[in-house]
Amino acid sequence: MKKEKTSLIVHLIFILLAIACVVPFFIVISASFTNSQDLALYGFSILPPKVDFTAYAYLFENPRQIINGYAVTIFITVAGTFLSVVFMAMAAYALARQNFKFRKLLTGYIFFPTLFNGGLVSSYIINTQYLHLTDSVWVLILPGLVNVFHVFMLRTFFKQLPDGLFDAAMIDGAGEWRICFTIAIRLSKPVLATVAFLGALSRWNSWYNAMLYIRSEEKYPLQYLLQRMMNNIQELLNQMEHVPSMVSAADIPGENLRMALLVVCIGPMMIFFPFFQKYFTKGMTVGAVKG
Amino acid sequence: MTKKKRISRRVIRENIQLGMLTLPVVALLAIFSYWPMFGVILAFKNYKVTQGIFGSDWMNPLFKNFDFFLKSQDAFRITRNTLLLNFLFIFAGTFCSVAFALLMYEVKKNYQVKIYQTFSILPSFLSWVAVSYIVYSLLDTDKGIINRIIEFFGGSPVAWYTTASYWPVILLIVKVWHSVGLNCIIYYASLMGIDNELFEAAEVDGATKLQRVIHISVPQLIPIITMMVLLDIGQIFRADFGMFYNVTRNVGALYSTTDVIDTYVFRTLINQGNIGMSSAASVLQSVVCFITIVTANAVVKKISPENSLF
Repeated sequence: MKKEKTSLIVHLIFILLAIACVVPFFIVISASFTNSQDLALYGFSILPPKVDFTAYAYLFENPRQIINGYAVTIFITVAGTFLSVVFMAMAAYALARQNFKFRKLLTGYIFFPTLFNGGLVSSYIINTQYLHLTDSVWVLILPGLVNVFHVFMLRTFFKQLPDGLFDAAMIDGAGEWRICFTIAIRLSKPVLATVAFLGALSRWNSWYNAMLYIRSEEKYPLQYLLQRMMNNIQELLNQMEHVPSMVSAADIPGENLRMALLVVCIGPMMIFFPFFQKYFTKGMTVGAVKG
Repeated sequence: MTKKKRISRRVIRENIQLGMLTLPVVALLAIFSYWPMFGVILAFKNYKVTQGIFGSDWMNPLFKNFDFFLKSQDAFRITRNTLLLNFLFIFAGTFCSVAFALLMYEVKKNYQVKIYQTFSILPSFLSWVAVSYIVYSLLDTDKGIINRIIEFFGGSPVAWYTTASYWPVILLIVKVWHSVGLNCIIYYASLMGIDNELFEAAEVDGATKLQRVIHISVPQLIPIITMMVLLDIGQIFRADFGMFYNVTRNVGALYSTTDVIDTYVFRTLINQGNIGMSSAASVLQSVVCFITIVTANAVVKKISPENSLF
C-alpha cells in the first residue's frame, strides 16, 4: 500500500483547500496595509495596491484599548484555564477511584447538565440579579470553569493508570489528595495538556459572556472589542485622541483600521496555536464519556 | 472486630477526601447549571425584578407566555430556520468531513498529511467574531472580493447583507470552512485503524482503487458516521449562536432565513427586555432538546451500545 503513489488530483484538492483556508487571512492583512482612499477606490484585494501604515500608526499611537483587551484576555485565559484544569482533574480523579462510594451518583450529577439546561434567560437573571456578576471580570471565568466532556476525558485517562500505583501509595500512608496531585496528575501530562489547550483556545476566543455582562470598556476582552468594532468603527476612532503626525485628513482610516485591529488581536494567537496542533487533534479523537 | 472498625474508618476517611476533591466542580455546577434549571419556572411567572424569580406571581393562565410565543409569527420562523439550517449543516458537513478524510487517507506521506492538516485546521482557531470580519471582506457590497470578481466578469454587484435568500448557502459554506479541517480528523483517525492486509488482499483479488474505498474504507466509517450524525441530530434544536449572530452581523433584513431560536431568545431578552416571551422560547427549546438528545442516544444505544453517550 505504501508504495502506491498518491494521485495528483488528491494533492490538487488539498492544495485548493489549503488556499481557501489561507487566502482570507491575506485579504485581511492586505486591507490593513491599504490606505483608506485606495480601499474606497479598489476595494479589498489579496495584495495591497501600495503598502501603507496609517491604520497601524493609529493603533500604536492609541494603544490603551488594545493593551487593556490583551490584559483581560490573557488574565481570563491563564487564570480560567489553570483553575479549570485543576478543579476538573480533582473531580475526575475521584470519579476514577473504585473505592469512592458516590462515584455513580456524582457521575450522573456531573453529566446531567449536558442533557438539560435552564437556558439563557434564567442564567442571565440569576447572574445579574442574584449573583451580581454584572461588569465583573469573574463572570468571564467562573461560569465556564467546568467542561463536562473534559471531566470525563480526564477520568477515562486516570482509569487507565495501574491500580497498583495507588494501592502502593496508600500502603505508604498517602491520602487521596496527595495521590491525586503527586501521582495521578503528574502521570497525566498529555491529557492535561490537551484539556488545557482546548480550554485556553475557547477562553481566548470568548466574547459571549462579555457581550451579556460587561459594561465598562477597560474590562472588554479582545474578542468583544473586535465585535464592537465590527458594528461601530466610529466608536474606536472617537477614543483615539492622538492623531499620528504623518496622517492627512483625507487618510483618516476606516475599514483598514478595522482590519488592522483584527490583525493585532488575532495575529499572535494564529502564530502561536498551530504549534500545539497535536493537542487539538488529540482532543477530537479522545471521546469516551461513559464507563 | 477492631480490625474491621479500623478499615471502615479508613473507608470513611478516604470517601470524605474524595468527596472534597469533587467539591469545586459540584459547587460550580450547582450554581451555574442546576440553579438556572430551577429558574425555568420563570417562564410560568410574571417576573418582577423586585420580587425575584421565586417570589414573582404565577402567570394567569399558567401557560400564557407560551401561548403568546407560540401564537407569534416568530415561533414558526425560528423553529423552521433552526431545524433546516442545522439539518443542512449536519449532512453537508458530515459529507465534506468524510470526503476529505477519505482523500487524506490516500495521501501516503506523513509529512504531507501534516502540512494539509495544519492548513485546513487554521480556520478552526478563529472565533466567530474574527470569521465575521473575513466574511465581511468577501461580501461587502462595494469593497468585497466576491462583488469585485463579479464586476470583473461584467456582472452587477450583489447586496449580500440585505438579500436573505443567499444566506443558508453562505452560512453553510462558512460553517464547513470553519470546521471541516478539525472534523475530518475524527474520520481520518478511524481510517488509520484499518488493517493494511485488507487492502493488499483486495489488490491481489484485482479490486480497483474505487472498489477498495467503497468496500473497505467506507464500511469502516459507517458506525462512527452513524454515531456522529445521530448525536448531532440530538442537538438539532440548539443553534450555534456565535455564528448566526456574528457572521450575519445581526442584520434585520436577513432574519427571515437566519434568525434561529438562540438569536431570537437573545434579542427578545437583551434588546426588548421581554422576559416572558424569551423565557418561554428558551424553556421550550431546553425541553425539546432534552427529548431529542435522549431519543438520539437511545437509538445509538440500540445500534452500537459502546458508542452511546450514556
